[in-house]
Order: sequence, then C-alpha cells, then structure tokens
Amino acid sequence: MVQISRRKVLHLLGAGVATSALSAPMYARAQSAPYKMGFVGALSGPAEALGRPMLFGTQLAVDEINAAGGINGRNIELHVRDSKGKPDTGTVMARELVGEGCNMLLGCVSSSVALAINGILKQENATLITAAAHSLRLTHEDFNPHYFRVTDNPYMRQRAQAKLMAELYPEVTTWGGLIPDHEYGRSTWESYQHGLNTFYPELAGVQPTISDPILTQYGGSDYRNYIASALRDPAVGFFSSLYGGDAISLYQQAKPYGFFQKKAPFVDSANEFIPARAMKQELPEMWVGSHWYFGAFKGNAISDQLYTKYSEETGNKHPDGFVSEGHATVMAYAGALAKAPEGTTEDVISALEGLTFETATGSRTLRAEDHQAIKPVIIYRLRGADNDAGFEIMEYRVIDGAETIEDATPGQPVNW
Amino acid sequence: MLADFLLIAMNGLVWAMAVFLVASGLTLVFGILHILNFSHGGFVMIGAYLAYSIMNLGSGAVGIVAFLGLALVCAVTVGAMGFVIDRVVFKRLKDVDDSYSLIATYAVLLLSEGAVKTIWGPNFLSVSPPKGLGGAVFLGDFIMPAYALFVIGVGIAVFLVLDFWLQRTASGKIMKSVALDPWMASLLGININLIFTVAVVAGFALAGLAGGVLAPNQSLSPMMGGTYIIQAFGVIIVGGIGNVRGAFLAAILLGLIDAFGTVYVPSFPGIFFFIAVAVIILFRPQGLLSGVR
Repeated sequence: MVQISRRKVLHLLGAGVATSALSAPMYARAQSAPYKMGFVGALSGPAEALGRPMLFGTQLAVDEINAAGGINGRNIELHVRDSKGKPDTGTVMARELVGEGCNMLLGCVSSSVALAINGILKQENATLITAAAHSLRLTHEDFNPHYFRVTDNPYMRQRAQAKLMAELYPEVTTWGGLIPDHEYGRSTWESYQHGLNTFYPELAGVQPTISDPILTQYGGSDYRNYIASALRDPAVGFFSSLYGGDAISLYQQAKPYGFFQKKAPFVDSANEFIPARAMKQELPEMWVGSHWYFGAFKGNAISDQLYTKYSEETGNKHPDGFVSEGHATVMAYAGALAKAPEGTTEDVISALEGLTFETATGSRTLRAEDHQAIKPVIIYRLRGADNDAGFEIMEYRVIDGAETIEDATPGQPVNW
Repeated sequence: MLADFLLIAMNGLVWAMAVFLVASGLTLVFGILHILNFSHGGFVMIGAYLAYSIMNLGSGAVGIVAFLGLALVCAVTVGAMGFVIDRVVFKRLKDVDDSYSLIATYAVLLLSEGAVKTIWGPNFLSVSPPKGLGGAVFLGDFIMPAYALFVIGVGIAVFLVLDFWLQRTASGKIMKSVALDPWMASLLGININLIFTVAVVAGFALAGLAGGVLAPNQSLSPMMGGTYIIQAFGVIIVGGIGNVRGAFLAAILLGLIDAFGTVYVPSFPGIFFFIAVAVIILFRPQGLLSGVR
C-alpha cells in the first residue's frame, strides 16, 4: 500500500497550484498572442517594382486590422522576407518564416517562386496565398490543398481579353503573339489563343487565324529581332505577355517601325501602369490587363482608402493592382481566422475553402475545390497623352470573374 | 525578301554596336591592368541614369547635337568616378590574386546598384530618342529606326577613335607598351601608374558614354548593369581579351549570328549568342585576334 504523508500531499498540492499559476498566464498569452503571417516577395532584383507595392498593400491591411482591434482580439504580426524573385531564395525564405512561427504565408510575384514554395507547404505545415503568381499549374496539375490564389489567372484574364477583342474588333481575325519563353508566357498564350478560338466564332461569326507565338528572351536588352519576326508575321492583332522592363524595352524599340500602327489592336496581358509611368507620352495605344483599377471601383470603401493612402504616401497617382492584391491576401486570412480563431494550418485551410471576403474589387470567393478566387477581370485602354501623368485611361472594362473562370479540376490540367 | 534580310542584318549590327560600346571600356581596362572589371555594367547604368536626369532638367527630348553633348557629359562624369574608383579600389588590386579583383569589382557593382536605387528609385524609367531620331528611314520595303542607325554610327565612330588612338598616337603606343610589359616600360622612364590611371578613367568614360548613348535603347532599372554585361564579356572573350579590334569584330560576328538565328530558328530565343561563343572558343580559345592589339 502506498503511504502518502501529510507533508507529501502538501508538496503535491503546492506543485499543482504553482503549475496552475504559471500555466494560466501562458494560456492567456496564447489567446492574446498575435497571429504571425509571413510575407515572401520580390523586394530586390528585376521584380522589385512589383513586390514593393504588394508589400505596401499587405502592410496597410495589417495596420488597418490591428488599429481596429485585431482579429478575435489578437493583432497580426507581419514578418517580411525578400525572395529576390528567385525560386531557391523564395523557398529558403519561406522555411525561415515558418521557423519563426509564421504558418500563414502570403505574397509571391512570380509563378516560379510560388511553384517552388508550393512544393514545401505540406512538409512545413503552412499555407500560402499568392497575390500575383498566375501559373495555371498552381491550381491544376500542381494543386496542393495548402495553396490559395486571391487573384485571377490566365484562363480568366486572357480569355476575357480575347472576348473583349472579339466584341470590339470583329474585323481583326488574324492574331499573333510575343511571349516570354517560360511558364507564365506559355500559360498566357494558351489561354488567349483558346479565348480567340472560342469567342470569335461566337461573337464575330468567324474562325480566327492564329500564328505561332514569337518566343522572346527573358531579361534582354534588344528585342529588334523579335520585332522583325512579328513584322514578317501576317497577323494584324497582337498579344504580348512580356512584363516589366522587358515590355518597356520592346515597346520602345517597336515604335519606330510603326509596329503599333501595323499591329492593332495590341493587347498587353498584365503590365498595369508600369510601362505607362515609364514611357509617358511615348506609350503606344494598347489594351492592358490589371488586378485593380481604382477608377473602376469608386465608392468601394477599401478601394478608396487604398488609393488615398497609397497616393498620399508615394505620390503615385496610378497605383498598380499589386497593391490591392497584397491587401486581399491579408483580408482572406483575416476572414479565415474569424472562423478559425486557433489559427492552426488545418483550421485555416478549412476556413479559407469557400470563403467570401471583401476587397478593393468587391467580394471575392475562394473556390473550395481548387482554391482559385472568383474575382473580376479588369482591362483598360491606355495611351500616352499631354497631361500631368503623361498618359490617359481611355476606357475600361470590369468583367465578372464567374463568367470567365475555368472548371475546377485540381490535380488535373485545365479542361479546355 | 531582300528587305527582310537587310532588316535582320541591320538589327544584328545595332546589337553589335550597342554591345561594343559597352565592351570597349571593359576590354581596355583588362588589356592594360589585367583586371576583369565586374562593375563596368554598373557604370554603364549610371551613365544611362545621368542621361535621364539631364534630359529631364529641360523639357525632355533634345536634338541630336545636344544628345551627343549630353552623352559626353555622362562620359566625363563617369570617367571622374573611374578616377576615384582607381584611387580607392584598383590601386590596391595590382599585386593581389585575381580572385580579390573579382570580389572587389563585384562589390563596386553592388554599390553602384544601391546608389542608383537610392537616388532614382527601383521603378522602371525610360528615355526618349533625340529629336529627329524618333522615326525611321524607309528604303522601299526596308525600314530602319533612325535611332538604331545612330547607335551603329556612334559604335563605328568610337571604334575608329579608339583604334586611331591605340595604333597611331604616341600616347596609345605607350599605353600598349605598358600593357605588354609594365616592368620594361617603367625602366624606360614611363610613368606606369599614370598610364594605369588613364586606362581606368578612359574605360569608365567609355562606360558613361555607352550609358548615355544607349539610354533610349531600353528601359532603365537598377538591374540594368547586368543586362549588357554578359554579352559584353562574350564579345571580349571571343575577340581576344584586351583587344579592341577583336571586340569590334566579335561584336559584329556574334550580333549577326544571334539576329539570323533568332529570326530563322524562333523556338530557341537568345540561345544562338551562347552557342556561337562556345563554338568559337572551342576552336580558338585565345580569341579571334589575340595578340594583335
């Protein structure tokens, strides 16, 4: 029989009281500790001009939520890492963030970085919401339940662009393309080509003639050889998914050949206001795809506030959509955490699936099956102009994402 | 058909002269000091950003003569930076292992990128061609942008001036003698330290000139330093490191191969430059004109 002395009982009781006294604040602290989110995006290197606005929007959303008392009474703590736009660096940075307790990752400018991080999410038991990476593989062949996308994708955007061209330019039935020779370029072209083949017969009553796309080098200084190839191409309408500095160099070098008079309409997949701000009056007329255009969402409180704060702090009166997409990633997590206050990865994934949340472009829903956001596609027509900005938005279209989104086939290629 | 052929050939020449403008300063510094200057692209970039700022002091686009003057201002300014870099960095690299030179010049490149980002910001910028060079020259079906012809003209002019200086003038011959045997040159009373400094300042000035002339050719960004430098290294290796004539010939050869390859075999964009460099080095590792200075 076990003999328990009075002294031993008192010791045990004392230990119990001490344990309770110590653990109670720890429990309370866990309940009030901030939610940790990790931003991984290009803050240096060629994509810095895209990553910085994304971080601005992300930080602004975090500040707004914290100023309003946080989520479930808990603040958000944002940890920031620079991927340099490189897949290997992005993966290392994502692991570092997880090591710091950030199981909710967000950001990513390029598809290559998102695809690389996507591969380690299960192993690290973390989630990633991307704010720009457009590769269709992320929600199809390489689908992973830990990954979500708050933006549109090439199927949605490029098909919407093709549909718009069929509506506005039914007489332009020959099309060509200039695309960068990598995953994003091929995804955009495949989607645009599919859109042309779908919507021209439907809306213009003709089958379009589509040339093979002209593949271009990434990060080049001279695009004249590709321009020469495009000029030899009989196609009249042209699509381009070169981005950033490459797109600007191409437009600068193409202009003297009369390229934009010979190849019109010209469609730019996703460069927002980046070439317009750089080229100003020299910008040729083109239709440009965007994540968000503040002028199209006047009256939306998030959009108005985002525009006001961004333009006040940076002096830039034409913010790019990367600002709103960074903001939207935090709003998605905030919506999920309101439903899953513990913030564990499993709970956050469940809460994100099918979640509807408010953003600068209105309500978005993360489709439960493949984690792709249903959001509007924004397209505007730009050209250089003699005004303060140096360019003007001639017109814009906001196309309902539900009209252009593909079938959800997670783990499978797009069902064209 | 003929117009297509001419257009591709001329595009190859534009590429060649743009890269030669960058490579000329690089090969000059290596020829005299035997330092492979990784920071060279960074100073081409600074030249381009200086051109952007100077043009924006006025109403933007300037005439051809003013543009050339502006490019010379960029050359002088970057040349002055070269003088400082020579005193602070290059002087200390003369008697150390090559690996230190690579690390030191790479550090200077990072500094130049940081300086550009701090002064001009990370966003993309662009520069308009000079007035009168914004259009194109038409010869039947053949179209050539006037600015592209201007780049070809400046590239040829820079080559002729450099070649005349190195081959026909006393100071050029002294420069070559120092490059071949600095010890013997010093015994003959030549101030080799002065020659080294002149070579560095001239090399940097050529980088500044290239930046100024090429500013309207492509977008400007803090990563621009790396845009031309790979091609420039390819050109000076194929031409024979340190050989200005070799760099000029190599630039033309590689430019034409890349242009025709890109247009007629479009499935492999940008690869023909690298294939050509690899094949030429395989058969002539010393470069096309090695030994001829």
